[in-house]
This record gives sequence, structure tokens and C-alpha cells, in this order.
Amino acid sequence: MNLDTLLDETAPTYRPPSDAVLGRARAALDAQIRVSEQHVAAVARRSRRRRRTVVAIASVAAAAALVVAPVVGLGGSRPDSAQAAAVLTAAGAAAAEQPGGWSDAAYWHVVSEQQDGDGPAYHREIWLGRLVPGVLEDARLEDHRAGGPVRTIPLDATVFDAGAAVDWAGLYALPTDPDALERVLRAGSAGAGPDPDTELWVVVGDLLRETPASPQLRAALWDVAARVPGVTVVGTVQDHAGRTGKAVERTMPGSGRERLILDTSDGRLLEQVDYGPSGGARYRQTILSQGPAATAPAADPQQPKSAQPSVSPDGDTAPACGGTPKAC
Amino acid sequence: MEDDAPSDDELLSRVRLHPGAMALLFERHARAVHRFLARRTGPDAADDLLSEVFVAATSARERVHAHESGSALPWLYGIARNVVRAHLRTRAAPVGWPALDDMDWQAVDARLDALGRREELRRAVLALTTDERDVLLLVAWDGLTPAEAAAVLGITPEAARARLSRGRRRAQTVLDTYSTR
Repeated sequence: MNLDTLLDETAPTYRPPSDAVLGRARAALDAQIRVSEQHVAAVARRSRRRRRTVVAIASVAAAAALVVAPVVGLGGSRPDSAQAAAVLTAAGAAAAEQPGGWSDAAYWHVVSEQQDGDGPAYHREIWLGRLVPGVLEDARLEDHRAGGPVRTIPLDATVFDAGAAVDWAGLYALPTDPDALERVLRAGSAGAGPDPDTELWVVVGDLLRETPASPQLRAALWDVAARVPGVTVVGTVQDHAGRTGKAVERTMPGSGRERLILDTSDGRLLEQVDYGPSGGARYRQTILSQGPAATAPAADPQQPKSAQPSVSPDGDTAPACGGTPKAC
Repeated sequence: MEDDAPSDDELLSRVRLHPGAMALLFERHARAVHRFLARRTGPDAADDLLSEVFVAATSARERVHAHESGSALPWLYGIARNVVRAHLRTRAAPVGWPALDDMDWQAVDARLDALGRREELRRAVLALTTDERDVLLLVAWDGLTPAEAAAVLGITPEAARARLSRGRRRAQTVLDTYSTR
């Protein structure tokens, strides 16, 4: 008999899926999309502008030894910049007086509130592991619709953005002399971002926001921030948690402004707000507390067991960068 | 689909940083993926496995690469194949049919009763290597082009076409021998 006739005759008959089946599958997909979006948000938020990843971990000390980048002076003679430098330097001096140094803590635990635009505010807690991957808990995850509430997701191994990526020990190996620190941060971030000063400002902000930086490093970070040109003092303001602090702002080329609210009495970063080109707030994070922790909660089960990594297509070894420059 | 809706290509390039793009791919392709599953496992299992495919695709989206046709379907079919294989691994191997496959041959066997073609199909199928069988059934039962089948299997279109013609020749030979006995 003819092969084609045989295959035709024996082809399976088909009944299309019911709306209920499609609805169930869509709900499971939506739940997974939320979890994935949280992963993307957690990673993107922690390394907004990182271009190199863990590959570069060992290079910080080498960069410090080898690369002498130009050091930018105190932001010139413009009075507004000098004023901002004074605020930031004062924060640095206060930060140095904080107790602590957490080179061997198990986790760094940060409690904050986030808000996108004028949307609802969300509670966020992150446990960054020193030797193990961290955990993120985000109120947004309560929207999980299928398979019960999932609120806590595992993170990848902890890396901090010091221009180049560093792990916890690398963070503690960073110089705490402002000149040396600025050189390392500039060397690590060379070529990234819209321009070197903007890049330096972003890196410094990231290192002050959700890391176990020692008081000495925080002091040096504020000192480096004071040297970044183009920062202005907004004045004394209240953050979204009602705390009084000094606000400074910097125009970010092509993307609006970034505001930091800091407590000059103890050198803590209280809040960070990104404003879009049109002036409206795009994103804010209000840091409610941060400190060392001995333990972290277990991450919730992530997904049905069907979604194990083993079910990716055969031979599917393309690089992770989906074809868009932003994705890398 | 609206005229200004993003193409599969655009969605796939977006999906790594914007997992929500998977929702549009679901609306576009869920029925085709269901059909693909149903041809391998029967309609009931397909109902259950459909959600697994799209959940797994969302998890695996970092490894996505679009087919040159611009369609996301070959990528989704590739994931569906693996979901089917994982599903069948939990069951006993069927007797008299290929084992360790991404086709539920027990389900195939069950529906052949009324046709009286069981023995012929079984001989044709067993005459093929796994590689040839994969391509032949993707083309004959799923209606894919050889190039699309190649994308599902992660091989070149040339390799798919070669396996297809070799497999067809071999299966036809077996059928000719069988019917003349």
C-alpha cells in the first residue's frame, strides 16, 4: 500500500480545546508571566546598567592596580554643584560614624517600598546571600492566580554592581579611600552608560541602595558622589515614609532626572526617585531598613513541576541575548 | 490578528525582558500547540499538557530563537515535544511500538482498531530510524514543511529533507514487501 495513503488514513482525528481548557492554560501562563516579570524586575533593578556580569568579578583588584583613570575634580566652581558636594560630603562623614561592617553576615536584608509611576506602592524585601543565592519577597506576587499564592522567589547568586560586578567579598575588597574608589568604579564601568559621569553616579547609587557596604565604604561612596558633576541640591524634603532628608538631583542624559534623598545626620540613603523626561516620577524606591540577617525565608515553590528546565527544546543553545542589545 | 499587531519575531525579541509578550503568543498559537499535542497524546492529555508548554516556554524564553519563517510555532513545537516526552516517560513502554519516543503509541494503537491498518503502520514506523520517524510524522501528521520540522528538531533543513526522503523510501519498501506476501 502507498505510504501517503496509509499515513492519511491513520492520521489522528482532532477535537479542538474547549474554552475552559484554553482558559486554564492561559491562567497558568499568566501566573508564570508574573513570576518571570518579578525575576526580570529584580535583576534589572539590581543591575540596571550592568553590561558585564560575574565574569568580571576577579578584575576589581587588578583594575585598581593597573588602570589610572582621570579623576574629575570637585564639580567645578558652580555654586549649586559645590552646595550639593557639601551635602554629600556631610552624608559621607556621618556614614563613617555608623557602627558595623558585615563582611561575614549570612544575608543582607533590605526592606523597601517601590512604586512605578503613580501606580500602587508595593512592599519589597530582599535577602541577598553572601555565599548562597538570595530571596526576593514582593507584594506584587500575591496576584499569583493559579496554584496558590507565590510571594517569595529565589534570586540568582548575589553580585553587586561596582562598575564591574563583584560578589560580597569583592565589595569588601573595594578601596575606602575616595580617590582610589573613584578610580576603580570608573575603570570598571568604562564605556558603559551614556557618559562616564552618569555611569559613576548610577554605580554609586546602586552600591548605597541595596548592599552590605561597610560604613567606611559608604563614606567613600558619598565622597565620590560629591565629585560627580551636575548634581544640584533640591532642599530639605520629606520622603514617602515621612522622614525628613536632604534631596539632591542629577539630570541623566536622555532619561530625565534622578533624585536621592539622604539623611545627612547618619549618612543613610532614604529614597531614590527616577523622573522621566516629562518630569513625572517613573519609579521610586524608599528604603525602610537594611541590615544583616542570619537567615532568609525559603522561596515558595515556583511553578508546576512541568516547567523544569529540562523541557527546553533540543539543541536549543542560542545565547541568552534574544537579539536585542538591551537584553545583554 | 490586527494588521498592526507585532509579528512573532518582534514578540520573541521582546519576550526575554518582557515575559508578558508570551500572552500574545498564547492567543495566537495555543490552538496549534494543542493540536500538535493531541496528535501525539490524544485530546485528553493534550488538554492537560497545553498549559505546561506555555509555562515552560516562559521559563525557557531566554533560549528562544525564532525560525527564519518568523513564526514562533517551531520553537513552541520543540518545547511541546519535550513536554510530551516527559509525560510519556512516566508510563510503561508500549509493546510492539517504538519506545522512548515523543508519540504516545498506545494511544495510536488504540485508535487503529477500527481502521484495520495497525500492522501496516506498525511495520512502516518500525522500519524507520528515530530521526526519520520524527521528520516524517511532523510532515505527514502535523502538516509542517520540512524546514519547519527541521526547526522543531534543531537540525538543518537539508538534513530534514534527507531524512524525509530516506525514511519515505525505506517505509515504502517495507509496505511493498508486506502487501505482496
